[in-house]
Amino acid sequence: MEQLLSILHTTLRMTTPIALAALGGLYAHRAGVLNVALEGMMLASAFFGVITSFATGNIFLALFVGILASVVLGFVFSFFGITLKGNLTIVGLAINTLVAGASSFILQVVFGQRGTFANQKIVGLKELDIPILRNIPILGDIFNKHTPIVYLSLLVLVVVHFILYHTKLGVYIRTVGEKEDAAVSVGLPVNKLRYISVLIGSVLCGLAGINIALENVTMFVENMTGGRGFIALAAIYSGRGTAIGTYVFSLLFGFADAMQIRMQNIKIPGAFIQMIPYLSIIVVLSVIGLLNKRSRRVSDDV
Amino acid sequence: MSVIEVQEVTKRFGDFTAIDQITLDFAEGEIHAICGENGAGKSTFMNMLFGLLQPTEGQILLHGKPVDFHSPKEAIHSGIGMVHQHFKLVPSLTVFENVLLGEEMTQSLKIDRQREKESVQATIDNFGFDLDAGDKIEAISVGAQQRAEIIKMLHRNVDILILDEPTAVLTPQETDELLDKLIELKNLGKTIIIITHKLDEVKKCADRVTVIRRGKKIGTVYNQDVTEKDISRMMVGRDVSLDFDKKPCTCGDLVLQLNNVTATSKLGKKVLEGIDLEVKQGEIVGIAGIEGNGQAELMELFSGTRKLTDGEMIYKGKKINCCDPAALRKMGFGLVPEDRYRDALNATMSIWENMIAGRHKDYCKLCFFDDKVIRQVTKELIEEYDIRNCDNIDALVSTLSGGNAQKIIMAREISCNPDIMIMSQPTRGVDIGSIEFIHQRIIQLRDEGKAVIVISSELTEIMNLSDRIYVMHKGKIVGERETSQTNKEDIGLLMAGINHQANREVAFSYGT
Amino acid sequence: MELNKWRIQMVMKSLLPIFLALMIGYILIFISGYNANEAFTYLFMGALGGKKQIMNTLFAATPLIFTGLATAISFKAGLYNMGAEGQLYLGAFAAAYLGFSLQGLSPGMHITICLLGGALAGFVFALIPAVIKAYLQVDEMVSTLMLNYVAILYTTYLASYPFRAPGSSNAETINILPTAVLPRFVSESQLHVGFLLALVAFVIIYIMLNKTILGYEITALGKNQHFTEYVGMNVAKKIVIVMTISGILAGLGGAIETLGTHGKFVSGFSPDYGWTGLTIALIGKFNPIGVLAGAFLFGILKNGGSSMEIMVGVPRSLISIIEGLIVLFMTVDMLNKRFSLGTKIKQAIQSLGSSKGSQNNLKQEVN
Repeated sequence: MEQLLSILHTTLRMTTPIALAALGGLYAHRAGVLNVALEGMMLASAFFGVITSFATGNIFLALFVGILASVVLGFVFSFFGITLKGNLTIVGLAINTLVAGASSFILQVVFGQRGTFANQKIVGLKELDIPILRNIPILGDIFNKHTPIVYLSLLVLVVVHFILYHTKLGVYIRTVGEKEDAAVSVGLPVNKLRYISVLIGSVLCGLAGINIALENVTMFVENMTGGRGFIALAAIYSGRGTAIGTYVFSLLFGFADAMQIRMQNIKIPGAFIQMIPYLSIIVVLSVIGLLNKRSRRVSDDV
Repeated sequence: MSVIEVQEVTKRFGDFTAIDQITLDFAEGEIHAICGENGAGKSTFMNMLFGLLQPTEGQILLHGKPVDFHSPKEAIHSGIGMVHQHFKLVPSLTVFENVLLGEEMTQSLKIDRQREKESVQATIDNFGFDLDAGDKIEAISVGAQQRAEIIKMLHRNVDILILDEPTAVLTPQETDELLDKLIELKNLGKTIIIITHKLDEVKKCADRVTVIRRGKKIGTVYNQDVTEKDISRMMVGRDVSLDFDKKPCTCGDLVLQLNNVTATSKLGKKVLEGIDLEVKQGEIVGIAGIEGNGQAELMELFSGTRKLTDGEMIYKGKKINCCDPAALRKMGFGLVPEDRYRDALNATMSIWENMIAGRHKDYCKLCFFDDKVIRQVTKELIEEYDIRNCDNIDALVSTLSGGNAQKIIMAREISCNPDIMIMSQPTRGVDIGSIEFIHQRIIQLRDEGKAVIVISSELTEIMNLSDRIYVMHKGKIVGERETSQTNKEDIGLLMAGINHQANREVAFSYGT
Repeated sequence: MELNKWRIQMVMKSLLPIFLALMIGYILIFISGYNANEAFTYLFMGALGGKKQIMNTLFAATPLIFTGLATAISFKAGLYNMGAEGQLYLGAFAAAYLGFSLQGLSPGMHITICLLGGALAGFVFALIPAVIKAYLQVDEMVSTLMLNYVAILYTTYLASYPFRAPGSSNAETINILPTAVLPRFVSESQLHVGFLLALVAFVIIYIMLNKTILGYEITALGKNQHFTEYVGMNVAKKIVIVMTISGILAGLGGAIETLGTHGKFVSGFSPDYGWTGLTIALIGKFNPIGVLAGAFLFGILKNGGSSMEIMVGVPRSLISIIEGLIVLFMTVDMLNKRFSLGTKIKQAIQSLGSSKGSQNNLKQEVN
């Protein structure tokens, strides 16, 4: 039981960055923009967050600068991909390469560090010990003692869902993605809406990046986002573009990560546990495909 | 008094002049029809009025003041609304959400859906439209979607309404209703501009008619002063006749037979139900119906891209329930689908690559292409089918006009020497010259003893070509007639789902 | 005359982004306090300055040619196989396993078997996303992306536990037998016979795409799947064929890395060859010639980058920055008059306020 609660606690922790990135990418996805740059945005935020935290010792400033870095990339992505109409996948991959290179370059040139940057001066995010939660059994064990960003991510889920379905912005974003013509015909600012969707994603990726770098480890490691941006994309696809579905699939990944961390000393090799989310996404999608197979053309989905 | 004056407006796209020095005025409270063939520049002209395009030269005056719209929003704010041929509606949203798109009613941040719905329903009732504000667009009929588009504009208080080919998707009865509605709106003081190439409709509702040919204005006339024939001559530049002498049909063996065929959509809804149908050698069978009543699905069934869920399809005595397009083609099916650039042609490939598609394997040695043979065959077909602007067969097929592109498809399909030829909307978006040519080829196919099926929503086309007619409504065949023993009115009623004395209400409740 | 002009323009179009990116790289080196002239001299001399350097550049380009072609052929068919990385890993491991476990074969035979093994591994691993795409409509982009992780985790596990070289501190297998090693051309360069195999693969794919029925069908499929189905090509079968060819190429790339470069399977041996191949395929517009040129360009940067790092101390990560910038700039058609960068920027500024950009779309539609 203790073991299970501990795994669930870690699940929530590991889910947070994936879910934030995925919920962020969700808007772009609904607006018809494939945001491959989620990975780069997170990494940039993690990097600049760590640097700022090191230089100032102020976690709020770190948060701000991290998000700012991610937003700047959001602008670059939007400018090249939306305004200049470059191929979105290429622009996204270019940004990912650029961030990986730049973070490691700056680390080496400015701080003389290779690969990893750890220092006692780096201030991390404090885990919150919430008195009310602490005393509730089970729930307390799962939900207490997380970084503020974890709690924020749960709020984000609700807000994202609300915005998408109950506000003008959400309707506009869905319109732009589903039927651009309709948006143009009533004079909705199509490009501006796409920019907004990407930039919302940037802010959330910024939060995700900070949480990765400044939760319990408080350091920057090259490539420390480890493909979470792509996993987030997979979660969006598998969750069929809904906020809830996206979060559920993010949880699946988070759970597998947690299992892997917790089971390192058990006999099953971690690799196989780590494979679970990837394989289960494939299985889930295959089953959905099988169920939909009746009366459908091959080309329907393309 | 004129509401809009257009002064010497020209629109160029690169070297191509789409609109050439057009001067025109629209009077308050009139229905003004803009007529012209496909590609004459009607839509370009209207898009300039609506702010989707800006004139290269010349100016547009609204109530005597020059205007320069840069977006449809500005046009709408100035009181000009447009109903496009391809609806600008978001399928997953409701009617009221679409109507209010961009002008949502909110309570603090949240959209107040209840108030929105009531407000839109009030407008609908006010103008006497048959529409439910709460329905989702993807769940209502095409006619209802069009009503939603019109309401979308009326709700925004426009006093000038532009309609681009509004009747293309409607039944004769729905068309009449629409035209009546337009006259009603005119009497309320609205100015209506209707773009169309259907002259009988022009005659029914317009006050004045302007004809455009190849981007130039040919003239503006009062409707009461001219006949359909006069307008037609202005449009084409010569007399046109789409009537021809047809030998009586000499039917041979049964080729294709559908017995009690049913098919369901992804969501489990029946899109085809209990279809019984047969075609014989040397016979043209027409399938009439308002668009969206199962013809597209039927065509998919014929093409092997949709599987039937019940019943059987029998070709020359053999059951062919689940064949893919490749297998059907091998058995002698020639297929001309309705969506030209989706199914029949690959817009980003060259003319010759499109010309050999499907039998490309016949032109190769050891899986390498035999360029010489391919080029020769392509050139021969281009000549035989009188396909224009095809000197460079490496050019993209999308550079061709609708008529020439359709001829490429006809040439390809006919040269495969099919036993049965199935065509959907064979002359949509095709100029009159090509229509004549294509119709003659279809008759010729029949006279050669092929079985031919023509699916079309153009009633005139069905009446002219077919020996026998089936009429579809709501995924069913609601009637079968020998062409010689029926008339347009009879078929029109069937298209609306009314089998003579049946209740007229049925027709318009579809999908709502 | 016209054609020549067009060609020059095409070349200029690809050179301009490279030039711009290098210029930014130069400035970065300069403000980082290094001698930029010296660094750039070593960058180019290190990659192209002599026979040995050129050979090493070609060596660096070899795996990229495979992953680039693998991605290009699937993307050209409209199939987004993002799984080259995973297919590469499995191919590499399969080749290593055959390389150290099969005894007593002649060198030619042994190498052939190892290569076939690598190709087969790539084939099988591409077959999974291919089949579920063709028959169950599972998005291949998601499935290949997911399978990448599976492949990397699995091979890492294999190299860490059952097949770990005794006494090694890294996750790697024992060395392959000498009979399985791809020979080098000269001893002072790492360039090995694998490069020739890459060229052979290039020629085959080039001819296949441009002169054969399969190439025609792949192009048709990539541009319009409805059409391809409608005119009677078997779409599901084509999807499986294209995806598996793609997998075979990536698997071969991995096998060649094992047999020619490392001599064993090393976990994490690929510095994102799959992703770089994807990038190369994208900027090469899925054209084999473009892929070849892209692979050489990235080979130059990679090889020259390490000489720059060794000689001047400029971190190699600068190369990633330059690569990223090149790719970024290549997405924009810089020389097109109607859409030149200058006018685009002007438009952009306006479009932030209105929806002008989207009207361009409409204009083209009306056209």
